[in-house]
Amino acid sequence: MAGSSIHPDQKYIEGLLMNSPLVIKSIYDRFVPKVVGYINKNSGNEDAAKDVVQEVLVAIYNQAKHKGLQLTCPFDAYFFLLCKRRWLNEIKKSSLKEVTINEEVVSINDDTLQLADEFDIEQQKKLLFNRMFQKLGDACKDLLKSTFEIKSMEEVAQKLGVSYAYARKKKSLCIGELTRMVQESSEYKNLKA
Amino acid sequence: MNELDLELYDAYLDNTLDPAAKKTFETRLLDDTSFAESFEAYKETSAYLTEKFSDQEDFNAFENNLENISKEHFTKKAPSSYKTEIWKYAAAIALLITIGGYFLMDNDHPQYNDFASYPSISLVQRSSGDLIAKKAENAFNNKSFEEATSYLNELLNNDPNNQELLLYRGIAQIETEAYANAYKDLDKVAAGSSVYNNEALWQKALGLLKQKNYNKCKLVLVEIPPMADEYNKAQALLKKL
Repeated sequence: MAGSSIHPDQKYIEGLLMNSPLVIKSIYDRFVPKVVGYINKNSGNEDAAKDVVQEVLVAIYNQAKHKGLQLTCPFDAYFFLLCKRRWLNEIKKSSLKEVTINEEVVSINDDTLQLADEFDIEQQKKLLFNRMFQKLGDACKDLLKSTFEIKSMEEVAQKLGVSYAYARKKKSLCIGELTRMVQESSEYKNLKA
Repeated sequence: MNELDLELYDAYLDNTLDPAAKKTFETRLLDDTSFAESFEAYKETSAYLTEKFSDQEDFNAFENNLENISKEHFTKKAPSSYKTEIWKYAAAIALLITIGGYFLMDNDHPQYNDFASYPSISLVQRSSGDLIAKKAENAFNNKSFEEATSYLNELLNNDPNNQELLLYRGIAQIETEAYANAYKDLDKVAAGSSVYNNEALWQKALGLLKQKNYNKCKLVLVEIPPMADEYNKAQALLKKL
């Protein structure tokens, strides 16, 4: 985000990336109880809170690893807002009622909202990519999976019994096809808007 | 997106273009908006595929670690019933009345073992699956601290500024009572700006507590700032000292 500097709580993001038990434990001790309290008060229970927290931490890890997430707000506010939105989506899905939207638990500023919005967009894009990937033909799916798992195109070509040049060409065509499917979907256009 | 462009995008992202072709590619990115937009879209798809299929070993290690810590956290916090709580408090008060006099007279100091705690460590997270890291991790988690120290020495030889490894070696050396070396490691971590700096202060304070060097222990504890995760326990120990 232009203009905003990185918050010292970026240390939590780095700790997640390092898979540091100390940092993960500290997140659970410091920030998770608030999430559990919120979900308990809003038609949920501890098991639901446990799942929400894990899903959000996994998503933060992925965004940090693959999108270079940089925190411009306190981790507390960001994490709580993501968990809250995740839980509200869950409730909408199962049409539970009597939800109290308690915004006062942490102070939420513009940076936090913007980061959380970006996070949501990334999550929705990921779901869209997943759906479109499933629509690709098996040959493309297998080739892309091998290509990104193995990394060396020589090895991929050998594994699939094709020439190196063919594997490279086919890879770019398959990525091109997936890109086209995603870009042409109305959902993607809405996300970009 | 035409086929030739797609191949170019892929070659550029895989860094297989020769320097001249790379330069031409980058110039075209600046001059041709439609080419640049298509490239951005291609790059986004490629990033998605990397996330989906690459570095799965690291990701699985993270998920396992998270699952274990989550399980531990939620089991520990399992609520007990109101009645049980009342009985617990009653028992605690009775115990305090019985033995309180003894402690007052004895002017006892807090003990290292009452405060020393550290989670199981997890060092094997990189795809390389380093054997020494695995051995260090096992030794540390099995409380074989001398063995852990020697494996950590090996790891630190290759990565001398790794703050996490320094912290763990510091803890291991307090356990084996190699205090001077332990404090050297912990001071280095505490002086840095990593996520481990306050934990290093806390562990140093525990080392000094173990040595019964209460005054120095207090001096280290007061360095732990209110924002730190370790602040509350540091304050609790300070009060007891």
